[in-house]
Amino acid sequence: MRPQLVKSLNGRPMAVSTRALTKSFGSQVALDRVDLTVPEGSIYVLVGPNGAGKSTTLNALVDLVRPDSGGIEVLGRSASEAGPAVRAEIGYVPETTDFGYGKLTARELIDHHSRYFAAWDAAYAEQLGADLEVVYDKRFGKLSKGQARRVQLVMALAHRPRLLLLDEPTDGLDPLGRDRVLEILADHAASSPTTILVSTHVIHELEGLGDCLGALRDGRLIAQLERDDLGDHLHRVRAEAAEGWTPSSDLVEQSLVRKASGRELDWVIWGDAEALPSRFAHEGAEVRDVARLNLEQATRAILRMEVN
Amino acid sequence: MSVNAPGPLGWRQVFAAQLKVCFLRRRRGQAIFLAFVLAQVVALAGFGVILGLNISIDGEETTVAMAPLENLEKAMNVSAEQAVSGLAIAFHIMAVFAFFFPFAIWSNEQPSKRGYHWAMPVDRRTHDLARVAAGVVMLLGMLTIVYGVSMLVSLVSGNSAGLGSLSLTFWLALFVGPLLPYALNSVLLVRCEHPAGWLWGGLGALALISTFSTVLHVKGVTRLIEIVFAGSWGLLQGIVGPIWSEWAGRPTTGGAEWLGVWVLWMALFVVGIVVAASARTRSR
Repeated sequence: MRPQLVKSLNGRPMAVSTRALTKSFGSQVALDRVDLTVPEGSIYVLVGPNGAGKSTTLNALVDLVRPDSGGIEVLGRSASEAGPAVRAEIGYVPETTDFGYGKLTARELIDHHSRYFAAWDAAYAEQLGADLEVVYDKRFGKLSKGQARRVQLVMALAHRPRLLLLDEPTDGLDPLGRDRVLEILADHAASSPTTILVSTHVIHELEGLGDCLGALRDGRLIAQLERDDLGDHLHRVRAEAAEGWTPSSDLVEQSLVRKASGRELDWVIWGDAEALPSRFAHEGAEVRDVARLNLEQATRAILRMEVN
Repeated sequence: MSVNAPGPLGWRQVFAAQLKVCFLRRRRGQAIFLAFVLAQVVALAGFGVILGLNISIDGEETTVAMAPLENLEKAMNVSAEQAVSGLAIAFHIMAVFAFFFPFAIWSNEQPSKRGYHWAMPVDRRTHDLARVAAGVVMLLGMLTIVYGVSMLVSLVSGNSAGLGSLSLTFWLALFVGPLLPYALNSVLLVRCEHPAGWLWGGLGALALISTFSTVLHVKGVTRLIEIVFAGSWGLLQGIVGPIWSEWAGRPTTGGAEWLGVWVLWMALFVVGIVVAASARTRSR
């Protein structure tokens, strides 16, 4: 039986919940029956290759994209029907930095943005700006992508929203800048009651931050798991088997990645670490090593697995 | 979990934010606009000085007399009619300018790039309408500056008497006439992903239809185009009616009728803008 990698993360209130979310652009299916559940207070890492539907998902949550079918609840309300009220409680960093306000200086843009949020914390905005070393007096359109990202982060965080939607938040940042942003996000999550949904390609950066993982591929949610669940059940197994060894279909179905070189097997498989050696032994293979995967390794394995 | 629940902003706050951001986004354009107006003033003054340059060759002596203000007065010799002409010419330039002004107001924010604007905690239709309204206020400010300069020239040249005899309808038309082309093009800018294409395509199609209907004597179409654009309830009448009337030296009559035409077209365009904003909201 195949492992159940898409789990509804129920059991606590949801900050985001979608039901069979489907969206096509022409003949291209961007989202295909996506059931995303993001628990309140969690840091949910959404991963996937380019064009998998990550940005479309975030845009749908801000009601910038209307789904063809399916439902979206954000902070307990319909994203489309309670749009302005919901958006007042969201901090959003979109994928792009080119959104038509390039002629304003960074300070003017932040000032303009702050007018829309009654909960704007000016002192916190200043502190974030100082921590992120925001270049205030340069026109936003003249800033590098990394500098513009810092401005966008101030805009997204300073009203202490209940939900942060971050689309590639460290894109364009230098390594030190990335570290700084991740520190700030961790501090923010600790000091403000916030749910963070972050889409990223650079998974290893979020190794210590993420509570939940969602993986999109070709518009389909192929995995949705708690970080602990992933750590406890997804393993890399190195084993030795006789030439021409044929595993059972049950074992194959539990595996995500299978590589073999001669007698050497290198698998990523779903199961309890203690039980795996005996399962392989039962099928005539000798396990040499069972290792937990870090978030990036787990993500790579999930994105490589065959999906029916 | 605590709830900020700040709620959506009121219309006035949204409008004020849009007015300010439009002003900030168009700083360079406004600087160019003011430089253009200033250049006109300087050019007029220079024109007056040069035309008044008195060079007399008396034997071997050459005398040059320069008196800018007096010369400006002489050079311009602005009569009451010419004072009206100055305003009318400025009006026509600004009416054309107003038609293209929505491109500046929505610069780099066609619907597919309006994500930031629409991600704000404001009803999107209200937000789009606030942007259009901010453009109206900016346009009225620019009209005031242009007409102010025109009248300043009349005052400096000492021929401002004619301005006092202009009707209230004329003054009203000076300011509200250009709002019609602004509102017309705003419909395209709010709704269309490629407004320039629709604009030029539409104008081209209109020109073709007009030409063919004239050549082929399709009277119904020719008549329809005349009614819509040049008839007594046509768009052109709504924009320029009182201006052309007084420019031609005829005191404006039927001010109420013109106002009716203007209100009709403006109502049509406002409905168009509201529908465009609503339709865009639905079709994302």
